[in-house]
Order: sequence, then structure tokens, then C-alpha cells
Amino acid sequence: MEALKITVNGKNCELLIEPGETLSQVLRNRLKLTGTKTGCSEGSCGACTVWADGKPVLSCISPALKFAGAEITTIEGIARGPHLHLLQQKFIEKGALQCGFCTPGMVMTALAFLRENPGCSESQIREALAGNLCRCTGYKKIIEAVAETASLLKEGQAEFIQSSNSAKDVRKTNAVIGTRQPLVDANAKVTGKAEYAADIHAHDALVCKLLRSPYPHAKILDIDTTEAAALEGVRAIATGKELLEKFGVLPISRDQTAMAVDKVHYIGEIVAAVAADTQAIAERALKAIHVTYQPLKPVFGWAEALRPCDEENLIHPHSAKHQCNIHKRVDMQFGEPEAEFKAAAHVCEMEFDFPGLNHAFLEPHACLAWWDEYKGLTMITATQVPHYLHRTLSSVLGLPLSRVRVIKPALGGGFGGKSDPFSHELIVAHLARKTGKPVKLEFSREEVFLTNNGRHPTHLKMKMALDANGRLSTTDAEIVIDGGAFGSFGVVTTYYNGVLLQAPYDLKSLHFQTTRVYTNKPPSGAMRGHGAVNPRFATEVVIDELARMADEDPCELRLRNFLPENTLTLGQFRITSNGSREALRTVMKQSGWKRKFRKLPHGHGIGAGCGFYISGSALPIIWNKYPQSVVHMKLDFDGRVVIYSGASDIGQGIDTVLAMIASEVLGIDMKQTYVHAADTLFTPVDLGSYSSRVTFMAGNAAKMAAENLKMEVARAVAGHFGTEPDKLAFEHGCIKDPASGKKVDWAEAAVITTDGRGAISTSGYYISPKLGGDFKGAGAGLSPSYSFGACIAEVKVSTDTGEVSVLDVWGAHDLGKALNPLAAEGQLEGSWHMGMGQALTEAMRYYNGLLLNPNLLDYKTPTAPETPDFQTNLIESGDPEGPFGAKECGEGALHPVVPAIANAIFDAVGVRINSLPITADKILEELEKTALHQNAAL
Amino acid sequence: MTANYHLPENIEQAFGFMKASNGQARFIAGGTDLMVHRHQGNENSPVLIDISRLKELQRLKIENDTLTIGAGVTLHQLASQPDIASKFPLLKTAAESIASPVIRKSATVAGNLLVDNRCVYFNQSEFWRQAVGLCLKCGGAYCLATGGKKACYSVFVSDLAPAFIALGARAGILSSEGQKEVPVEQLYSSIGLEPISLPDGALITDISLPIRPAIKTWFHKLRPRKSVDFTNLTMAMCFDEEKQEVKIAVSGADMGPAVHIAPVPLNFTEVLKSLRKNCRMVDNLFYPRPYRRKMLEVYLTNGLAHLGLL
Repeated sequence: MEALKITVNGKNCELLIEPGETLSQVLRNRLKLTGTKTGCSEGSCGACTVWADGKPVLSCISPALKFAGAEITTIEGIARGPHLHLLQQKFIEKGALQCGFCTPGMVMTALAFLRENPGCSESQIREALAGNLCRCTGYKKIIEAVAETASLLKEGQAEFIQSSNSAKDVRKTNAVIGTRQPLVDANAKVTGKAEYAADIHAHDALVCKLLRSPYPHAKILDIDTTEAAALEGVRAIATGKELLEKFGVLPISRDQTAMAVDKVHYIGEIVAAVAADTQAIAERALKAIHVTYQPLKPVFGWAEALRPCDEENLIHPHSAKHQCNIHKRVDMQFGEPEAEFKAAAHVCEMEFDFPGLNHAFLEPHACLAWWDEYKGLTMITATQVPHYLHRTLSSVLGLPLSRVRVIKPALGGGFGGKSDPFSHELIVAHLARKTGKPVKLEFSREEVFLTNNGRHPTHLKMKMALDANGRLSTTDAEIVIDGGAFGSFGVVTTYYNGVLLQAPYDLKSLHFQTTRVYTNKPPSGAMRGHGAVNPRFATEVVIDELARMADEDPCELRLRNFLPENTLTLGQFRITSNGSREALRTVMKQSGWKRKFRKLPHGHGIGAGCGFYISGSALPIIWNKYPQSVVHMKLDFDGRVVIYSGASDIGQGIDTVLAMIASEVLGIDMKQTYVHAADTLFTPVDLGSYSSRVTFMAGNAAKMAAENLKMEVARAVAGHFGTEPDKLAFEHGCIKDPASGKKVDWAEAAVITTDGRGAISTSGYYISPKLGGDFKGAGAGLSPSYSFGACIAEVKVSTDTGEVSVLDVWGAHDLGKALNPLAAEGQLEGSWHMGMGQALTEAMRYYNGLLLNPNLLDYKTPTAPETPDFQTNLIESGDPEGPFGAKECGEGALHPVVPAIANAIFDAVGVRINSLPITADKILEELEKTALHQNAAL
Repeated sequence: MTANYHLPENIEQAFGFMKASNGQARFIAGGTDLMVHRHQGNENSPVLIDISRLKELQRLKIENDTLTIGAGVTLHQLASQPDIASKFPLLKTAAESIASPVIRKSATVAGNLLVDNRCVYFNQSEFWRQAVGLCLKCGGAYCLATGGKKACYSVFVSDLAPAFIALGARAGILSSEGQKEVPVEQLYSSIGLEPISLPDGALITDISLPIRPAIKTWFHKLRPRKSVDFTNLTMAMCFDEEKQEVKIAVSGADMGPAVHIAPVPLNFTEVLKSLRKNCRMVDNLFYPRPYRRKMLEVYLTNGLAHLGLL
């Protein structure tokens, strides 16, 4: 141990530390200043940025001893008491944070930059933030916040101001819905106070580390833990045989065990786990566990997986009926595609390849569990779906549901990647029970990538027909998706790839076959836009080509072919509100489409794409009659309305929306509400933050609970006034009887309501109406509502190098009604940013089943300098069943942007790259081929 | 595991610690490269000697038509020096092409010159490297990037080196044998396993370069994103109008820098041929080898055209 004297946020600290400790470890583990985040531990993401003597440094790759005598400033040291720095306040007001995990590092970087460059330009701000990755916002609102701070400071505004969670105090009015509300937890996130799973320290906790398979496919002959178990400080070792119960998020594909039992299925699968006193001991113990493997023949690609395979080498025995590694095959047809193809004026068929993608949220998975004989098991974990984990912990650990509690703390981004119940959560819970002590696990970034459950690698053939009247008549798709080693959400993905082709265009027929195969790679699962992103890309590119064949404008072609409102699709999806046309027309106008399309000089192009998505699945994953979301509201003498909801705020802002709904219905200030969410002991079930369901379903449940509460209060106050409940008006924090002029404020109303009976609780719930046909597969893709959207992208392509710059993206998304436009815009901008990554740079690349780029330097999410300034349009079609007319906006916006960029590249240089990502090398190769053809023709 | 971390106040102390370590020590300055290697288990020296407080390494001065840049000057300082920006825009551009603005505030000039070679089969965690079966650079039997060669093809990725080499810079080296000065290109062995050819325990103290008014320069770096990424091909050129000679230096293409000096008027085909021969590219970075080879030609064309030599 070495002595270290430093000043941290003005406080002198004298510490004894290990010479190898990094500054981030000292800040987080020894000083408990957990506002400083570690997203990668290798200097690639910027979340750990702090100041040393005023200079920003990456604390995760800085030896702590380097800073002996230095003055360290962390995010906790920026605000002065209740006074935030103006930049923090602008982050709150501008919606520059969602999950908040990158926020502390972002603020530290931006603030250091502003102090050095008070007169900075927008492009300088983008460059300054280049090393700070954000996966939620698309950077637009962050850059706005920094730019506005710069200009206000230049005008002489004070640097520190009284903290406020709102730009203007709009909550005094009665119309909260539709106003730009900062997230309720924004202040906590911008000051480093928000606690994520890894930030929570439990007294006397053990450290868990996992041993992972170095083989892609192998039998486990023996696991010898004797040497490891004998190490001092090792408290428990667990292997697969202790947790034999299979699990999986879908009841129809429970094909995974917490740890490998007889064989391993991919490089990175967990084989054993250690709980030890310290991380160093746990790591030593992993090296002392000796596993004997007998390699089996691995399967890495989709084509290989479709080849006949003997049973011995099958990845899962239940594939035996297919005699190859098929997990699930779906073949569905509506109408007569063959007839349409024969009658068509133009037919276009193309083949596409998509790599696997990772969610690349900034917060690595982390969890903490403890066991108590009275309370049972408690787990705090980074999850989007506490409910399924609750059920899975119960079944795998053999515990009654009533003895399991799952808590979701602040969550640093999900995008689908935290929506499965995970092996590591089961292992940590098991070790906590086994040792009787709290057990904590934090993933490395590499482990995040190996756990994956990201977008499926996909190979697909798409054939579409355009008839003589310019109508898109039919689609035929043949799709293979690579599920990796396990099922995850894969059966749903298999259906979604096909059934979500039946909108937004009014087709006469549709056929598809989707095959999901198993391979010896990290599992694929659900990722933003789940199941529909790749076939949507293919559709929109084929439409672009059909328009070219018919020599017409692809946007006009789309406008002619959109489904109307209030209709049924081929497969009996019930379309209610539908803003397709308005969305596309908006971006056409705004982008100058007519002026630019096919008219820009060579190397400069513009392209369009459209899309639609479900607003929550109408059917629950686990078939039962329990509502899809339940919300409770409690009012006590103090007047605070406590909202209990199982919904998971993962940065998208559902806690804020629930508070807004209660505030709107009851006519009270949002400060009189409090959301207690995602704690299965106290909050009623919500199925979780996936399938774009939360605002719609939890929103409707909250609205019902609030209306029930309003009725209770109205009855009590009406009795007090001597009038009828329905005569009262709830507004501006008061309850009035317009006839008599009598009036009480909310605090008085709370006393009147609770007098003689105490606190009251009300409940609301949401169950989707019965929808759809009664054929096999009819349930897939059913939703009480659908979102619609359009994007236009403008690009420049260098004909020398093939490099692409996205100059701008105009996007419009029909979300029914923007309950909180600030957060809704953030969802759209984040989606477009993520889609841009898929289009241009992101791919999971493999070498013999081993992921080549399991880190945030080599997995290339777009950084601030190459992200354009998105033009964001909220289209409000007013959904008849959504809360206040709202429907989804968290996923659907991603679909149109990917093909819009591809189509823009075609407009620029005349080549189609149908294998994503569209990298410079592929473009140049195609350009050269085209040039060769042209030369040959001459 | 780090057993000892030293923070010497002057060069003598630093060398004292180095001597006492019996070859177990590494110098660390910004640490932005070294610490990542340590995180991944590719660098395990038990003793670190932090030279970031050595005032001797912080100099940045122009004297007698020579620019001297201390080894410990950060990339940020280098890029924001108005004198350097005006006299050597090439250095500013090169420095600003490296990593991210925050990293450039810690990363030093010598640190970038001595950045370890990179390869997708090498810059990985210990678990990863063992699962893949250890490449040559981490103790294995053969190179995985080439599917079995007995030489390491890890790529030299310094972006400052090509700039300095093109400008004819020299590196001051201090070791137990004393102080000497060598052209920057001589810091490199072009051997993937041991790409740096400095004596054991030696330090770069500074880089010096002549101020010549009659030069024109060009710089370009290939990378998938506009920031953060390591190079996939960096080319720097300096045209000396007095000598009528162009010096071209390339990184991101071979195990060491590829350098070519050509008299003007030049024979493009000859220059390209020579560079291609010295750029032994394999598929071990983001962009595939054929594309990077093609870009070598494109950059050469664009650079020479910019300098008015085509």
C-alpha cells in the first residue's frame, strides 16, 4: 500500500491505496464518489472524465498515484450547494441527458472546454466532445446545451444559479401534458447523485467474477475447483450443476442454464463463478479453476447452420427435428403473391446482409444481491424488465415468487440489451444465498459484448412488385436470422421479421419465410426496433429501386401506397391513427426534396425511407390474464401523490411521464407527486421497458389510477362543499365549485379526503383489447396502436475514397401525442443516431466465433463530430386508445433512417451497397466495378 | 500488478529509479496508451516511473532556426502553440488527428512516438488472447493476422511520427550511455514484436526540427470516424523547395514507418512502387487490406497534387 494525499472537491484526503489503483477506482471505491462512471475502463468512452488541477483527464486509465498533491474535481464538486452550474442547468432544461450515465463525464469535458474556449462555435463543441460517447441523445441536445451556456456566459449571466428542474414553471397551469418537461431525475443525474447498480455499496459484500468458456463449442468433461476453493478469501464457487433449471425470456424457448452444464455453446459462456473477499482474490481463483473440455465441431455462419448436422454436433438437441441447427422457422402467406408478380409492371429482387449489432449502452451490466431469512432474496440490478427477472429468479433458484424482490436503480441505457433475465443475475443471487452475504458483480465492457442479445445477423432476399397503376402489390421475403447460441427473444424476432412487412404500405399479398438458426456465437436478441429494422431496410431500398425502374419519385410512390387510417392490414393488424403521409410530406418539404432529389451534383445525394412499429405487444410473453400494466396511487394527509409503478425508467423518461399524467388529471403541480418505480416488492406489475409499450400501457394505467383518485377526492370535497363530485373543477392546484365559488387547495383537499379514513390508494390498469385473426401466428405483431415515420438523409460521398458524410437528417415520427415533447424528441434523435451507426460503421465482427471488437474503440458507434444536426418533427395524429392520444416513439424512428442513408448514397454515386455497414471500402469497390463496366461498354 | 509507482522530480532521480529496478520498470507519462495495455494485460511491468513532472521534458522553444519540443509536451500543447501552428501547420494537423481532445491533454509527444504497434489480434483482453490461442506478439507461435507467418505484422500507428519524419526531425535520447540525437525514423525497428529500437531504460528528451521557410506540407489520416480512432493509414509529406525534394512518411501501413525521399520532378510510379514495397499491409485493422493499399495510391496522388508536384 502507498500513501496518497490529494484534494478532492476541496476536501483534503489522505489514503492508503494499492500502487496499481486507477483514479476512478480510488474515487468510486474508496471515496464513494460514484458520480464518476466507468463505462469501459480503457479510455474509450469518456464517462470517467474528472479534472486534475482543472484539466480534464480520463480517470479510468490514470494511475491514482500520478495525482499526488493534485486537486481533483469530480461531478460532485461542480454544483455549489443548491446552485447548479449554468451548464448543468442547461443539460436539464434542454433534455441533454436521458439515461444519464455519460452525463457526469460529458459535463466535466464540456465545462473544461467552455472555460478554455468561451467563444466557441458549434463545430468546435462537437469536436471537443468527440471522446465522450453518448448512446441516448444523438448529441443534438447536448450540443445545444453547451452552445447556449457559452452564449449566456458571454452575455454575462452568472455561472451558478438556483437549481430548478424546469425551464419555466409551467406546472402552475393545468396543462402539463404536451409541455417540455425535464426528467424528474435530471437534477440527480447531472450532479452525479443518481445511483446506478454499480454505485450501490453493500456492507461486507463479496465480489463475484465469472469464468467464461474459451471454446465456441465443447463438451465439459471436468471442472476442478479444488485449488480455487482452497484460496484464502474465496467464499464460494458455483458451477452449472447447481442451477439446472433452464430459463429464457420466452416460455417457448427456455434453452439456457445459468452456467454451462455439460457443454459450452459459445466463447464467453459462463462456466463457473467465484465469490471472494476482493476482486484480486476472485480473479486469482478464476485462474485456479481447471476445466477440461472436449471440443465439438463449431458452427459460425447462417449458411453452415442450415447444412445437415449429426446429432452429436447439434448446438441444441431440440433442433434434431430439422436435422440441422434451425431454432425456429415461420412461413406465412396472405393473398396470392405469385399472381401479383406475374401481373406486375416492375419486379425488383435484391439480396441483403446485415451484421450483428450490440446495443452499446454506456453502463455495463451490474448487480448486487443479498439474502435474508425473513425477507428472502433481494436483487438490485441493471434491468429493463424486473418482472421477468422476478419470475426467472423464482423458477431457477426454486424460490416462491413471494420470496424474491427485484429493484431497478437508475439505469444507464438498455435499448433491449437489458431486457432478458441474465445468467449473471441468477448466479449472483445463488451465490448470495449460498454465502449468506451480499454479492456484487460488475461487468467489464468485454463481458457486455459477450453477453450481447443484440440485433440478429441477417441474410435476406426481398422481392417486391409494382403494378401498372403504380401500386406496390406484393412482397416476398426469404430471411435467415442468426440467433447465436441461445433463444432469447428469437422466436418473436423470427415472426417480426416477416409480419412487420404488412405496413405501412397497402399490399395485396405477402409471403415470407424466416428461419432462425443457432450458431456458436454470443446470443442475439432484442434491440431497438426489434425484428423489423433489417427487413425494413430491404423494403425501402427495393422501393427506391422500383421507383427508379418506373422513373418516378420514390416519395410520391410511397405516398400513393400508404395504408389509410382505421383499417386492417393483410394479417389483420388493426391500424387506427396513422400519420404516415403527414410525416413524409413534412420531411419532403423541410428537406427541399423536390429540389434536390436526382438533381444534386455527383457525390452529393438525398434519400428517403419510411417505417412503422408496434406500440407495445398486444399479447404478453407469458400468457395469463393479469393486466399488462398496473399503477397504484396513494394520497395521504401530506398531499403528496405517490405513484407506484413497475415500469422501468431506462432513460426514456417514463417516471416523468407518469408524474405528468397524475399532475394533469389531478390539476396539481408535479412537485406534489412522487414516482416509486420498478421495485417488485412495492410496485405492481408492469411488463417492462421493451417493445415500445411503456408510455402506452403504463401511461393508460396511470391515467386510470389518477382518475380513480380524482373521484375519491371529488367525493370527499363535494361532501365538504355540499355539492356533487362531478360539479367540481380540478385546476391550478385547487378544487373549485364554480357554482358556489367555494375553493380548497390541494393540501386542504388531502386533509378533507383522508379525515376519518386515513390514506387512500387507488389503482389503474391496462389490458390490450382482443385483436387479430385466428390463424396460426396471428398474434405476432399485434398492437393496440402503431407508430409511423419517415426520414430523409442528405449525404456527401467522396468518389476518391468512398467516405460518407451525413450532412443532415430530417425526421418525422407520428407518436400520436407528445406527452413530453422534450423527451420525445430525444427518443427520436437517439434513434436516428443509432440507425446512422448501423448504416455506416457498426458491426460485430468475428474470428472463429470470437468477437474481434468487444470494446468501445473498435465497435464504432458514431461520435459527436460525425453526427449531423437532426431536424426533428413530432407528428401528432391523436391515437384513440393511447393515454391523451400518445403512442410509441422509442424504437420506430430508427427504421426509416438506415435505408434513407443508403438511398442517399445511391443518389449521390449510383451504387447500392446491400451489405451493412456501408463502409468506404465497399463503396469504392462498387464504384470501381461500375467504372469498369462503363469503360467496357465504351 | 504495479508494485511501485515513482514520481521523480528530475531526470537524475528518474534514471536512479530505472537503474534500481533492474529492468523491471517502464516510464509512464500521459499513460493513455500504456494504461490500456496494462488493463488488457499486455504490459505488466511491476514498476512505473512517472516522468510527467520532469521540467526538463516540458520545453517548447524556438532558437537559432530550430524548434525544440520537449518529450513531455502534450499533444494539446503542441497543437495550440501559435508559433507551431504558423510555422508547422503539419504538426498541428497531425497532433489534432490523434485520439480525442481530452486524451490529447494528457498524451505526450514522445508517448505518441512510442505508441505500441497495434493489431486486432493483440489489443485484446487476456481472456480473449488465450481463447484465440495467443498470437506471436503475446507469446504464441505464429501470426494470426496472416494465418501463420512467423513474423509479427502489428501496425505502427503513431500519427506524429510521419509528420516529424517528413519534416526531418531528430529525437534526443538520454540513456545510461549518455545523450545522443538520431533522426526520428531511427527510433523504429520495423519489427512487429519490438517496434521501438531504444536502448533499455532510455528516454526521449526532446524532438528538434529545423525551421525552413521554403517548405510545403500535406497530411491525411484514414479512420472510420472523425475522431478517436487509431489510424488505418497516415501519410505526411514535406516538399523542400530549395532542395527540390519531397519526403513522404507513412504510418498505419507497416510494422514501422515507411519513408520515401524523391527528387523533384518525381516519377509517380516509382514512388508508389517503393512505398507499396515498404507497406506490408495485412488484414488486422478496421479497413481491409485492398482498400488501404488503394488509399496509399489515392493519398499519394492527392498529397502530391496539393503540393503542386503532379
